[in-house]
Amino acid sequence: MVYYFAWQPDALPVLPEDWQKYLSPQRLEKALAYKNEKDKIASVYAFLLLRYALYKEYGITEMPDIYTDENGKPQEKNGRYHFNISHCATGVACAVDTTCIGVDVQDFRPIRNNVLPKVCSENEQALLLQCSTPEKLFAAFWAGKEAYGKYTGEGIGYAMNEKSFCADGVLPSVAFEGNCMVQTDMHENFALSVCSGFEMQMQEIKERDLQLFLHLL
Amino acid sequence: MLEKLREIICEFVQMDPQSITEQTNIRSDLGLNSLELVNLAVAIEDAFDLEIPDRAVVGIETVADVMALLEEYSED
Repeated sequence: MVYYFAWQPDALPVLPEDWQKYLSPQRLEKALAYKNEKDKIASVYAFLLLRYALYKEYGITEMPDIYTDENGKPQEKNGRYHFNISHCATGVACAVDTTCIGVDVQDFRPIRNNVLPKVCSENEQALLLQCSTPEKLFAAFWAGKEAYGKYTGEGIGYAMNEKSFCADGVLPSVAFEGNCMVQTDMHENFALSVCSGFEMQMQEIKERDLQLFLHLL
Repeated sequence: MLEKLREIICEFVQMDPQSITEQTNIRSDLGLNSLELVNLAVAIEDAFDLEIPDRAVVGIETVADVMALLEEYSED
């Protein structure tokens, strides 16, 4: 399952009261390290969304016990579940499942042309040239590629221009790669993609949902 | 090398170049996400006329890491 929480570019969510107590020590350290307030807020909400997802999917209310594996990917210490989180300037997403999973949200940014050959296949580059909103389509291409990289553990360390998960540029899209599938969808202010072994449902939650959940903890 | 890197980084982030040090963290200090890191890596490749392998970009956390990669791949 994938949960996501979105906001408008000019309307950052407010951090909950006593938000620090809802974060693990490692996550708190990471959030506080961000110099930019919007990055800190997104990082905090990404972890809150993880806790929300664990409660909704598995009834778990205790603090997640997480370590970072040899690929730099966060994992749950007891192997009870797999998870992945992502945040951008306009939203956060969290995917949880009993098997490996990768998720990415990517907001819309101007495209730097010299990056296209590294990231996009020739077909994707052609689609971008034809598209009336190339920054949105590129965000979708990127989100799929990063979700895949997070699923495999490679992150962005693979030849992204050799993989294509939205071959015809039409969204929402589903692409199959080996034993996994990459689902990508477009939202108002970001592209959201999940890579998993099985089809994933995506559910938007609101700030109120998170507030009610935090009262349970 | 650091001065040139500062110039490149400031194309992506509005900040005082002199505040960028070797210890500057790409994500927490500069606020760059993975896509922006790739953008930065390509800009650095173009500026220094070299190629950084995709796998090496994953490991970049600080400006010092970038400088180490530049030294490694400039010699090849």
